[in-house]
Amino acid sequence: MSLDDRIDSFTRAARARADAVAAASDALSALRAAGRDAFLAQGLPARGNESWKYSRLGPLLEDGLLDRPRDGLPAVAGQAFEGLDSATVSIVDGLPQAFPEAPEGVTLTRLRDVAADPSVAERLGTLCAATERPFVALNGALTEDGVFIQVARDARVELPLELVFAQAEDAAPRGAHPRVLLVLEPGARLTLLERQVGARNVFTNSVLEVFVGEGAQLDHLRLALDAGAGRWLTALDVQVDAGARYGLHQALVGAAFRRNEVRVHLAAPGALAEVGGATLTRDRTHLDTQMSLEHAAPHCTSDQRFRAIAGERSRTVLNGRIHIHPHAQKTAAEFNTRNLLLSAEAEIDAKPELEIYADDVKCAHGATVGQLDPEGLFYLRSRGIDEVSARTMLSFAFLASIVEQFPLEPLRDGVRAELERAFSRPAADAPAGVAS
Amino acid sequence: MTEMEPMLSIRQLQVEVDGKEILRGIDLDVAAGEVHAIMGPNGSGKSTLGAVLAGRDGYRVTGGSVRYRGQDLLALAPEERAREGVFLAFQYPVEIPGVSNMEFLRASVEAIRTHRGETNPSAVEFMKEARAACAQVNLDPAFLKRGVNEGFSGGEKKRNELMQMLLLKPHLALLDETDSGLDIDALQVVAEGVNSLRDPARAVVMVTHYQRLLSYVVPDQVHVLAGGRIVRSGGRDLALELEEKGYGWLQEDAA
Repeated sequence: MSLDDRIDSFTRAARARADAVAAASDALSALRAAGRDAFLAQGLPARGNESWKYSRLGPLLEDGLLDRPRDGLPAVAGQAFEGLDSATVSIVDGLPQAFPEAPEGVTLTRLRDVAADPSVAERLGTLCAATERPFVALNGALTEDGVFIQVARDARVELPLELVFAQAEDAAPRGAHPRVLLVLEPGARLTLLERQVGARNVFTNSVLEVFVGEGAQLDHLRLALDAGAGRWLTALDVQVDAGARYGLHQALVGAAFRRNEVRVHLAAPGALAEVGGATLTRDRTHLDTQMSLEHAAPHCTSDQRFRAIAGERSRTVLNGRIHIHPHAQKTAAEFNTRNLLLSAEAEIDAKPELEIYADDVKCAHGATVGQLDPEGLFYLRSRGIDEVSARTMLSFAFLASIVEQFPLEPLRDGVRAELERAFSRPAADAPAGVAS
Repeated sequence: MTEMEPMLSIRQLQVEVDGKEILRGIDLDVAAGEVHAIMGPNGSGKSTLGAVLAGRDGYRVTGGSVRYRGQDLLALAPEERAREGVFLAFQYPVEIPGVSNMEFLRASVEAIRTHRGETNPSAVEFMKEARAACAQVNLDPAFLKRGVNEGFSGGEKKRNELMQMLLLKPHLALLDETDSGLDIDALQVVAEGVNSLRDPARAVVMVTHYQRLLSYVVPDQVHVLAGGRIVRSGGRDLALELEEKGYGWLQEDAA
């Protein structure tokens, strides 16, 4: 079947699914109707869509990836992190499971119960709009539920909140379209640990909208450490208000398809965003990160640091857009990415993209694709360490230097060990669930 | 190796860097049990000598030979030289964020001891050894957990080099300006470390610009390197003479 035929077939199936889901009448009906209209108006990203230039749609178009998940199956287990204490919210195949006891100051509710409440409806779908984003529209059209998380004004939540997007123990292909709305009221503080868990052939198309209120602080760790057949697509939109801080700390490995679209809106003076990412792709996996920093107000700061390693026949894509709006004077924005290719057949497409419409700003960007530091290599060898081991140590160190900046200490060793395992295992003979 | 052969024997060594001749025929014999100091003005080729002996890339040997414990040293890869007991304390130790000092030291100690046919210490034993080495050079053991040299001050980096030397117990220790940039306390710590390694089976070559280290580590021989050649050799007194007169009077000999 040609790509065009597959796109047609996917679009027809999506429409049929949307019609079936729309029949359910609940608080999410309005969101679904808007999503459905937006999806049908746009269709899938067309050839020539710059944002999709390096991510082929093929892995998302396979048969069955729009099928509804079956209820009631247990979730695949993710790796445990020793010494990490958290309250865990699980979303299995797109459907939230029973909630844990919420930490003080945190309210957890199922989105379909509250989506029509004015305080929720005024935000839901506003930050992450469905226009010009076909898969956000598709999520809207097909979503059956999600989670609304609210952190009360000035609440300083010590216990990390874990948000796990997991897959059920089920071999059948299927699609999941969960939706999360997280609101930190002014002055609140939270550490969110988001995880994408599972290596099965499931299309998980999630949308997260996050509001960080005035003076609030959110540390958001995002871990996706399972390679394999998962098709993971997320849209994350974050609004950071005056004097608020948003930290995004990512450790990601490639999968059959993984794409994270992140848009951070620095919406009022003094907002700060710090983004770090350690990524690893191997075998034939794919990892696409689309970062977009919207500097919409003066006196805001953003700092982004990425380190990527690509091996075998994998592909890593990183697009770092910084958009400085006309009134955003005294902006300080930095984007830095360093990349390491371990194989001649691997590919890294790293691209800073600056759009600056204010004249009094400090903006720096840098992207390098390179080799290991020869000085470091000689230093290790001069201490008796053979060249292959020295190269492995240095390559891995390149990623670990990002992980060491992660805020949750008990997590650092665990993430490091997981990445090290993913890094040092032999190459897989078989493609990672990608139909060729 | 014959009984009479020195541990290190350099003959007419000529070395180019980027097509420029830096060493123009070095002759040097260092016997086991000896401490040699190599002094000289900036740009005389002192650091080049250490780098060539340790096997750093980018140095082209255009003539001469280096025998070390009966082997052709220049034919060995850097890691093989280290395993055979050559240790270079770097003038500018490299920062490697993301590799912990501990992990690095362990890999190094294992590589070298395995090569020597010794059994490797358990994690606990190793930790003990590493802590003891830290204590000996007055380095907080918390540094073991940090990235290799990451964010260390100049003095901490030098002490970290020395700590590695104590752990690895080389046959031939090359110290490249290990004394530069140290205050008097740190200098004494370095000197005590080097002195503790003095042993009839071990040799030390210290490259230094100043004679003050030599007040604490008394060398058996002092050589002056100028213009890529050893222009004078002598005993401890030569260092004092240099201190008094500077290098100017010797550089004419080199031209």
